[in-house]
Amino acid sequence: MGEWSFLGDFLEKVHKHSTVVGKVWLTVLFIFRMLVLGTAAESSWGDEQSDFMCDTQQPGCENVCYDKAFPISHVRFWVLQIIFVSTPSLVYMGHAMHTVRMEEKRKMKEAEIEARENKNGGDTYYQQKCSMAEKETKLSGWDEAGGQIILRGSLLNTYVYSILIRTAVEVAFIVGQYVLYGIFLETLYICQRAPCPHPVNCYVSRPTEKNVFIVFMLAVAVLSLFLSLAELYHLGWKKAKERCSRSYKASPSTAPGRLESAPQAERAQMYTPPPDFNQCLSSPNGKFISPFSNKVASQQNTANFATERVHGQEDASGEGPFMKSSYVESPEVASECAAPAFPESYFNEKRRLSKASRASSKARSDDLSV
Amino acid sequence: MDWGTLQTVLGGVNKHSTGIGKIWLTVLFIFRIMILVVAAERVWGDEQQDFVCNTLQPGCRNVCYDHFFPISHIRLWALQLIFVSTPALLVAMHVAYTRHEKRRRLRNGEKIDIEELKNERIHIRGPLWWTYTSSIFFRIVFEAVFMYVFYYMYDGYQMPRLVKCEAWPCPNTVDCFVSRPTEKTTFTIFMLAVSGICMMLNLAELCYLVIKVCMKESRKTT
Repeated sequence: MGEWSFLGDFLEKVHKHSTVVGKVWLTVLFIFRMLVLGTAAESSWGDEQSDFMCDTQQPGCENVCYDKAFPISHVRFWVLQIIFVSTPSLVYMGHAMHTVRMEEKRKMKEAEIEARENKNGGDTYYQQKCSMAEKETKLSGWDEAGGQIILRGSLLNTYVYSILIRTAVEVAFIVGQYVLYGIFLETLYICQRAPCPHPVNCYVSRPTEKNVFIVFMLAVAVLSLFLSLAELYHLGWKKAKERCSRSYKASPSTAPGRLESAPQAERAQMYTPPPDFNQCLSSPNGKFISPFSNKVASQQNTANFATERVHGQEDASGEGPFMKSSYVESPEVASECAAPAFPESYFNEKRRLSKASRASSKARSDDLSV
Repeated sequence: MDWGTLQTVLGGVNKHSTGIGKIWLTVLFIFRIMILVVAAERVWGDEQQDFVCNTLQPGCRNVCYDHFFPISHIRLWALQLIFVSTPALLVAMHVAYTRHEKRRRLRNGEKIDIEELKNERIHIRGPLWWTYTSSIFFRIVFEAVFMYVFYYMYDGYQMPRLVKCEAWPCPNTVDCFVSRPTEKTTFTIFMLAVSGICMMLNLAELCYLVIKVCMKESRKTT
């Protein structure tokens, strides 16, 4: 297994930032594929050529017949399969790390801007609140307390694509194995190839043991495929459910506007709120409209209401800590919808409603108690 | 071969690389070193044992194997990987030297935060830019040289099934059969493809660094 440590180390990081099903998939990969391959299958195939016997004295005939029977050994085929199947996860990991890095940079810049503004002095109360809110902002893709990446927006898309590619590669390798070798190895292989003078009987070494491992690895590949499909279904179903509940709540929307706090310029539109906090509106394109006013007091009120509501459903959702996502279409809608009248819209968003809380999903010490 | 040491050293360099540099490092470890260790070494493991010649003449097989495989693919790849990784060590040394200098200044009384020094991500500019860029250039050169050496030594990238050998003490032209030629060809082409990808990545990184500097210069002058 030491030889697999290069890949293993990378995949450990992916393990931390996967969904529950993703973690199961990775565990299956580590234990049932890498470990079995490294320990058992390698020794079973160890003497595959030295004990490949042909019924001939012709020098070179055994070599060429072995080469014809096994253009690529099963073990090497599985090694390539494992590596190619793991690669999409590494791409996702790269994207996640990049996202985290960008967010850290942004946060640092905002802190710098805020520090500069504070130095200049003479801030209005509102601006101070805003800048404090900025400082408190959690990274939109990173929950520092849990150390987890929150799957949304482009990161979620990357994750979904990585699973799709993984599934395709898995299918390709399973089909490839079937095309190359069929399912079972035969004991006898009849070979006719120069310099063999005539069709020659060749006998494969340990065919039964090899068949056991072939069936095992095939079964694990199918299981991995099933897990990938389950994960896709899980992600797709939640997204569809989200969309359905959003469209069900559709009501006339107010005109969109921009909040005065400019630093969110790079985020998506923030819409002026309707008078009633409880109306969670969705625009036709599926984005949430935040029912906030620009006044800080009402912001805090909405946050409190939201917290009160969300905490009520928080424990109802059974999702583990690994997947904190509401599959929001646009991550840049920083102020999320305040009124979860339809709780299934927010599976795990524990705290989403304060303007100050961005994508944070945990209560902070400076929250007003509800 | 113990590649773990190389991984430890290059892991440190990873912190100070560009994004493309990090991708290159990942490709190097997973698609080259790992494939070499886990798969390719097994394929070439019995290359001399199962190199069979159609002769009873003692010594003929040894001589013919030596004639057709002056240096095994595995060893050549190991050399290639070591040479290609070495320029990154230059960057690591330069970074270590920069840190050492900063620490020296700190000891001499200048106010530098120790914590910041330890965790600082050193940006690629100034002399470090030159070191980094030349390390990428040398990487590209080494990759190209080794690709050519492979092509020259083995007459292309395909492993022949049959080789005809006339070296002494073989009494006449003797047929010799290579072990697992198809599998070896597969892996040779795979490693060649990954080398090509690594070279593309290095070229891209070089262009990125050069363009970044040019843009900075133009911003300064405007």
